[in-house]
Amino acid sequence: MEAPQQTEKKRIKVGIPRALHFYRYFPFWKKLLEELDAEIVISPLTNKKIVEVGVTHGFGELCIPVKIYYGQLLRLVKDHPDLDFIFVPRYVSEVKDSYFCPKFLSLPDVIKILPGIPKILNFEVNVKEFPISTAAVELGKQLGKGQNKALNAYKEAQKYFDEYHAFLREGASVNQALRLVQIIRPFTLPKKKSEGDIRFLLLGHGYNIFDTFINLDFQKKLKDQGVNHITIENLPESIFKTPVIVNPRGAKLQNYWRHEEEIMQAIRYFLTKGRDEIDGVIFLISFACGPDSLIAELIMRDMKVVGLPFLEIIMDEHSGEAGLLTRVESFVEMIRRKKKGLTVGRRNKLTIKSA
Amino acid sequence: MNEPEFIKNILSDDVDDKLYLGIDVGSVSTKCAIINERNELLYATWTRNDGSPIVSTQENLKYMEEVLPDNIEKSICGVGTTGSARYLIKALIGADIAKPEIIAHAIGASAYTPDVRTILEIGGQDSKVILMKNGIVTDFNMNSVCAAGTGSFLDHQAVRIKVPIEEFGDYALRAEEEVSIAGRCTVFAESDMISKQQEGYSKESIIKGLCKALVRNYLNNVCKGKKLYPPFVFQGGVAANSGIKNAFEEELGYEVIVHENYYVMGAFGSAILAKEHVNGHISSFHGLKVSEMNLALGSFGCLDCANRCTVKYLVRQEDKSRVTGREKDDAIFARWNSRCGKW
Repeated sequence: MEAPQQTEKKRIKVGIPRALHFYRYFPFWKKLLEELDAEIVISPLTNKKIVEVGVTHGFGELCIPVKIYYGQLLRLVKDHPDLDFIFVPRYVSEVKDSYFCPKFLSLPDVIKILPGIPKILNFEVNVKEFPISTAAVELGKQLGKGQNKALNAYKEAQKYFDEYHAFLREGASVNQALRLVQIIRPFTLPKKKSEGDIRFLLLGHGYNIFDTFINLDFQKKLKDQGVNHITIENLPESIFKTPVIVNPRGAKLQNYWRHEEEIMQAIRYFLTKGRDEIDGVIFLISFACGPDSLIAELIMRDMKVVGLPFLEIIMDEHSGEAGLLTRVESFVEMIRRKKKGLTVGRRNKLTIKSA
Repeated sequence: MNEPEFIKNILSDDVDDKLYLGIDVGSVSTKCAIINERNELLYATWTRNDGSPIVSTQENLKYMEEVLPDNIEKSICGVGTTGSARYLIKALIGADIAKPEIIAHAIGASAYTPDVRTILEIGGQDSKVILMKNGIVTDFNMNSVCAAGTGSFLDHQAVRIKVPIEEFGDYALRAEEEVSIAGRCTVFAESDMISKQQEGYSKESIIKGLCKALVRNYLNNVCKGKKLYPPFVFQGGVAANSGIKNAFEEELGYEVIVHENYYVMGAFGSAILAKEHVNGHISSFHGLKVSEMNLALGSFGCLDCANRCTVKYLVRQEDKSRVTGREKDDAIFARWNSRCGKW
């Protein structure tokens, strides 16, 4: 029995924290790493303990999603002391002239200060400097794989990722789809459940919308109130083809931030053709997020022009359920009453008795 | 038992009308309102709840039982709750409907001023602005991370400079000079007030400066980026403060309407919502007897997952020692505060 064990080398074990870009790229990473013969483990759903650990190790300037990344990372290391690598990719630029937040760029360097961190597996996406295939080859090297194998893995991963996106565009929610990826099931849509009478566009970074702990299970709150929602992942690809010019009459500025650009592109669609497809827009923002707060203001102005109700919700680790619920319920109720044309004042003019 | 601090009661002794009850349980106070079929406010109370919504609601119901006609219970055809404890109180008294306070306030205000466009609402712990058009809410905002300028802060400052909060408004009106106070943050406002006192300004001027600072803060933070149209209606506990009302009028350049029942507008609105919701059907209201139930609050730490929620539950007093809160038992009235919603 000893012989096969010696020939078949133990698979390299790679840990992925369930935070930040996980909600955007996990299917791609999973396929890529598995094609390179790595074994993947991911950290559990975010919980109070993970947030606490993250907050203790993060410094004050950080937003809560990055602190959660710290917490998830430390949890992963604690649960799996036998990890060979921790996968901390560096996403600089995925599309030309469009960048990710500096807190993301510096992640692989910054997390080195955390206690007990194993070797870091690098994967740098920076299309301005080199194509992603080069990054894949570099990744392969670190796992002891040759160039051809790495290029093939990249091709397979991209193919799988495209399928994943096609599935989302069919209407699957990101959380559903990620679950299917995790348990290695084919992408099939669940049976359509009863429709709500209101439809929202839910905006925000994946790690804010799809991490059910930080947003106090926001999507469930919408569902409980009979509200359907879509996210920008569900929208047709064509929307994201043309760049958004922020001030067409002025300096013709384009968005610098990748994800914010996608949000603005989606908004452009609902300002024009898609105006009647939704009843309102909710934007989940983590406290102290600079790029988001910038575009929130731009979106608010646009929404006023077309008369779409817009609600901005800022979250941090102290977010209370009561305040959140009051805002959401009021927003839903406002739209519902508007649709039904329910007023109090005009219909029954009052005669007030004086005391 | 706490007597309500504000009482309005124009309910006649022989009630033959259908009545609707609205209860607004906020962070600082509990408000009750009874209306009739024509949305006329017949009974209203305002009570400090000292942070215990259940006891305060029970006391209010008890008080109603005492002062109101005997057939009041039968006449109540619908009950609505609002405020931060709306779900808890709904479960407690069997209310028909629990709606957020923004909607309740909007309904209340537009019942009195049908063409209202802007509602300025400042309560104990939060402040909101509600924009309306043609009787429909079009936009709203609440203070997010900062409670500067709410009732609690004014209370605190009143105690500190030894001016009863009720007289704040009169003091501000008597001010002879302008004092500029930093209102961006209560910490700065307080230290600014102290230094202005030491520079020899009168209490009157400082209070006026404080009112103006709070209004500026409210307009810049809560109403930021929103275009405000008249007519303006000002309600919530702080509307009692004529200093703030005047500061609003100065800043906005328009008259600001404060209705005589400004302090129960949420409860009033929620009573109207209950009427709208019940619409002839039978109410699920448990009746005023809820006030006699001896209820106790319990809590336990749920260890089923890493979130370690502290689950709270409401149980009959006599069964308190018997149950742990985890079991299925008739004595347990309601359970809440778990993240997963399991309890």
